[in-house]
Amino acid sequence: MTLVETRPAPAALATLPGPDKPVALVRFGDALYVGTAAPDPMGRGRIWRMPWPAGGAAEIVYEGADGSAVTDFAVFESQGTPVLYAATAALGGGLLLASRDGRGFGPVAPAGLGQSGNLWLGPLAIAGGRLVVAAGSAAPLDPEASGARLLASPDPESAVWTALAEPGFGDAENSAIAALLATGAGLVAATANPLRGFQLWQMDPGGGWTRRLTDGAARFSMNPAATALSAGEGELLIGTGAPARPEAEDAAGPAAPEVIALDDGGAWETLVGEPRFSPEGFKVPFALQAAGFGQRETACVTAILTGPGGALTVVVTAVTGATPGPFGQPGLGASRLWRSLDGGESFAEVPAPGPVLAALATPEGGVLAVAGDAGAALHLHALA
Amino acid sequence: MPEPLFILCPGRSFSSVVAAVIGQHPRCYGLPELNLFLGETIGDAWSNDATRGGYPMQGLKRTIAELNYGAQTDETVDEAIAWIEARKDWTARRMMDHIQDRAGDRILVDKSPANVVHPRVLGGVVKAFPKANYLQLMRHPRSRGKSQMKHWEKTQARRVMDGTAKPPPDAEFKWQGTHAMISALGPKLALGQLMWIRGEDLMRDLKFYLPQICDWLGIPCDDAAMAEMMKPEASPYACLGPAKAKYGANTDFLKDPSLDFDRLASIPDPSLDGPLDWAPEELFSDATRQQAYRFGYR
Repeated sequence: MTLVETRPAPAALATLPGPDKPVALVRFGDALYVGTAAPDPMGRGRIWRMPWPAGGAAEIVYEGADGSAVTDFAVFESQGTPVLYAATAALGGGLLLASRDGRGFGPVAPAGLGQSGNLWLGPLAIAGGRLVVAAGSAAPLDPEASGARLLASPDPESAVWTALAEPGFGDAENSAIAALLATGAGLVAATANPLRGFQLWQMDPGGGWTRRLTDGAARFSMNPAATALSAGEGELLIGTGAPARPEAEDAAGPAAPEVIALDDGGAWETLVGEPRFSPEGFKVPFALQAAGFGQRETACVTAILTGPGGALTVVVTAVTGATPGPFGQPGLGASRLWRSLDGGESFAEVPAPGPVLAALATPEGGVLAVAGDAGAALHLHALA
Repeated sequence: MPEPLFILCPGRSFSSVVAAVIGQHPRCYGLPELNLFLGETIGDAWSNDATRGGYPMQGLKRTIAELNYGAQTDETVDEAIAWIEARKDWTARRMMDHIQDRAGDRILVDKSPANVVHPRVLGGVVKAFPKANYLQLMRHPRSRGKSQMKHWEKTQARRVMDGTAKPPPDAEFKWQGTHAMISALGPKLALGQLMWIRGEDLMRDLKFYLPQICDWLGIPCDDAAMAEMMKPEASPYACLGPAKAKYGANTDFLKDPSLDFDRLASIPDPSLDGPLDWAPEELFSDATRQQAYRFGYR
């Protein structure tokens, strides 16, 4: 039985007129920034700025070329001052943009960080005093994606970038880096691997990498990518996802996503997912919820937000169509929000305001970026 | 009484040995192939074309001989046949209930290949036992296909000359279609009611995976239980039966049911790539490959 809280979805804080899809969020200074992708492959990626937490009208502070999309943000201190970096995907090569004032953005490195195959930059992370950029040929969930490179620089404006790892961590079937998270224990990188299942790699202080999960956590191609990472209380939370797959040609059927918890000792359990026998033992989801929270359709965990006292909010968004071109967003359908107040032992569904494509935890609550026909909107969601 | 365990897979998927191993757990009772669900009644199943063609009810005869008459001899098999003939109007469920009564408070372990010959048959199993546990047993499509073709050559090739041989099976379709049918059960069942395991993993490391299966079934897996499960040959059905009901499981298993741990440890991992061993001009289809990736086969 599904328990749905009866209160309505929160009202929109702000709207972004037009058809752009909000895919990245960050707070920088006294403003909130939204990176967007156009619904059509030849549209333009944009960066919107709105005062935060004061509120106010959103304004466009950057617009890319035709056939571009903004993919992620990171705030990194460069030459003594915080700088807002934005990664983009573009036909001529993904760009790394920088802004010190949050209003003017410009590229700080050659397109594709100097490599012609890097049409897609992002996600971004900060680790070990460096800005880390994932790079590849297409969106991580695009079946045609390849590359899976991880580059880093202590001074992005110097245009000196070094590889943090072998492409795909030495596995040609790792098609992309789908998520990055800097944790106290080191940088964590999650791959997309459509055939074998996602892998999770962690960097140690010496720069070496340890594979902490493989084979989609023993669910293989039914967990083809880890699409969301979040630091929980003493554990890493992993949300999985899958691209759209034409059912008629795919005997494996739809791939509903899971939520997995990995502790510091390397043991993992599913909070939500498919019970299974595994090389690590018999796994039964703690919350006794099936993959996709019981909804079998192909979907992605687009965000896991953590709050005080073990509160979790998991955003699951249905995947309804293939990626339109190299930089369009996959056809994303309705979202469902699931909240736990006990660290993932039980979840209750809460109303979702629409398709949530990005989310950000802030002291004021969780900001949900919602796509809509009449324009994107930002909603505030209570985290506890 | 406990709910039964149904092991679901196309033939040649290690099911005889897996069912016998689990069936030797002190809280379980391993059955030969009963093939009860081919019709609405035992009489229907008994006269079903599939029964005549490939699923003879020798396992049922042996089971009734063993449980009703205490032994498997030609005489008790005759008695069993007469007993079954008198109950041809029974449903499969009623027959299973009878077997359960005789076996006592133990989990019946059934691996009848006929249960997955058609979605209607599998649906009948689930309808009769909506709360049973179902284990989907996997084997790599290449090694399973090779085994199936080898079996066909062994049993049918000599009939080719006189024109009575069955046509060679479509080994790839059997694997893909059967597993798609079994997987489709998942959404209709409760969380964890249908589980899957790769037979190769299980057979290579029984002592690691059997406790997981026992945990799933809610039965203990102490040293004594593990020791019993390591002796599938101790099952009354793990041997050739009397002349009137000789079979009821894979013939090779019936002839040599003991576990050969060295052989099991070296079960190979074949590849999905390359020509089919039984049809060198063909490759595995995309549908088969996608299905195989789902279970970690490469």
